[in-house]
Amino acid sequence: MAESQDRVGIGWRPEIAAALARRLDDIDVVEVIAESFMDRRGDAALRALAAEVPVVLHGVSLGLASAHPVDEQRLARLAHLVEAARLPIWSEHLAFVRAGGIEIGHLAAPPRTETTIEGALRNLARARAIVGTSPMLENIATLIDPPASTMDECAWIGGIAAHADVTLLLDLHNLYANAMNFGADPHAMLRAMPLDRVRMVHLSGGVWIDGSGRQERLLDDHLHDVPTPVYELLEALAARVAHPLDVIIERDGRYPPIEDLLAQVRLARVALSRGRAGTATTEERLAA
Amino acid sequence: MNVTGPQFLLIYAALAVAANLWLRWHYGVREREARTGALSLTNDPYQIALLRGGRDEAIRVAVVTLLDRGLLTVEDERLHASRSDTAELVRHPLDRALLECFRDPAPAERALSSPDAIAACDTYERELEKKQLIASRKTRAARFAPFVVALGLTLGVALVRIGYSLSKGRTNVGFLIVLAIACAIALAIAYRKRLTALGTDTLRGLERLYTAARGRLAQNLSGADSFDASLVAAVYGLAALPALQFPYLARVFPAPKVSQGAGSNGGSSCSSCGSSCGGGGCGGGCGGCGG
Repeated sequence: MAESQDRVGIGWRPEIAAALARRLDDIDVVEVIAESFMDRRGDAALRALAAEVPVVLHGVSLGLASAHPVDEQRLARLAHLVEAARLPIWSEHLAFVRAGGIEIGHLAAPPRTETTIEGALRNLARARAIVGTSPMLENIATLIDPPASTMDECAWIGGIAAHADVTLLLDLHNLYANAMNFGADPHAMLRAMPLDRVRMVHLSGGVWIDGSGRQERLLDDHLHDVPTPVYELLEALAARVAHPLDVIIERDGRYPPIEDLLAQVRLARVALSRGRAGTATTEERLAA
Repeated sequence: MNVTGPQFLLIYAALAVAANLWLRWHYGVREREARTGALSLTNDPYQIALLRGGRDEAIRVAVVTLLDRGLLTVEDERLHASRSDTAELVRHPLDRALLECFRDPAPAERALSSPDAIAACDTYERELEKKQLIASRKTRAARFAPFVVALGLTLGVALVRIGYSLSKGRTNVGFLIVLAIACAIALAIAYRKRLTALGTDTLRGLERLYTAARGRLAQNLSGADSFDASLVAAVYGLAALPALQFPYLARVFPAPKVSQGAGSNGGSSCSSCGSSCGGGGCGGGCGGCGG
């Protein structure tokens, strides 16, 4: 497989901003939460940051995978940010975040049906019209299998991505957590995803929690280090796609020293280079 | 011209404001277009300090950073390199210059006149000019023609009106002369502005980016180190450093006394005031902060 220009970086969070600022030479890209920059000086801040390091925007509040139309004011604010900071690459989750006028405060998985695919496609068309570009779509983690679903996650995501002709941000910890929680093989799930559309990857960590008394569940909490199986998934992904990938380590709390986060960046680079070199992991060899 | 004197003054004031707005808008558009690739400021806070407050500010921030790192110590209100060989331990030219400067104990002000420190800052200055954040000779040359247009228009109109009034035997042109001079000064300020529009935007952006770093430092949260302090001081001014963690600050660089309601301060003292008060404004009495 040809060598790719992969980039590895960290999610920019205010709590680690100063520490990251000094180590920008050690990362290739940062990802910022778009909603954190939608104030008066947000676009100036993003421009200042983009002058230091490549920046990609990540949205968390649009709720694209919903039968409800996406809020056009939110889209307009996002469009302003994309335009003002000259950051054409942005991403958003395939989730719903509000219903009946109530903000859930959480990225929730909708039923995986033709109806929700159609809803997501309408919202994506609206987003493209207002922002000017389509977002990369991110898979989310869920602790419960969405009720009333008629298809599996990979087919549902693949259906939306194919119909909307968009690229994907594949969160490998979300994929891993969903596989663990619903008894699937994460590598089989990875292979079932439309990998030719994946341009970005999120890596994060989580914690095992009690799940309704019987079975433990893996909660994707972004408060823990990236576990080894997720690096193995990255390696497998890198072995399967030829195009470049942007890989972002996500951390949203219990921040370790920046050296620890950079160590995870290095592990991601190792996984990518192993994958690019065609060195299959144990799971991959077994699956083959 | 069938307009009365007061009416003309109003019209002239509107013209003066419009000319100023146009000039600043024109400079803004031209200078924001000039962005040339990566700025690489944040891994070197001294550059940010120089951008914000000039050479002396960069030197002050560097001195405080060296104190925080323990490479300089305060002895009887004088600074002293903690070891004779510290200058060889640092790679930064400004750090090295300051450690050489304080090889023998000396008051902090000596740093501001150290030829090596000044030379290191001059290098920064040229770097920032190259990045189009500080107005260079080339920037001023590009600013000149629009400045002359705006100045010529506003002064020309004033002169014509003064000539017309005098020809009619009216000598009450004092207000118009004052207004024309004020307009010319405002235009000259825009023309001579030290920072480019890109530089001003960049500073505002950095202030917004590192708000949390400043908060963490103020709360003495774990993980904050001398780089954080240096970055916060560079972006917001030395007064943004909490007095509890930087008790030597007031002795080393006492805050300049600013009279109540002093209005337009220089850039650095204004930001210093705002920082320690926790508010955004300046001129509200810096003397009352930190007490």
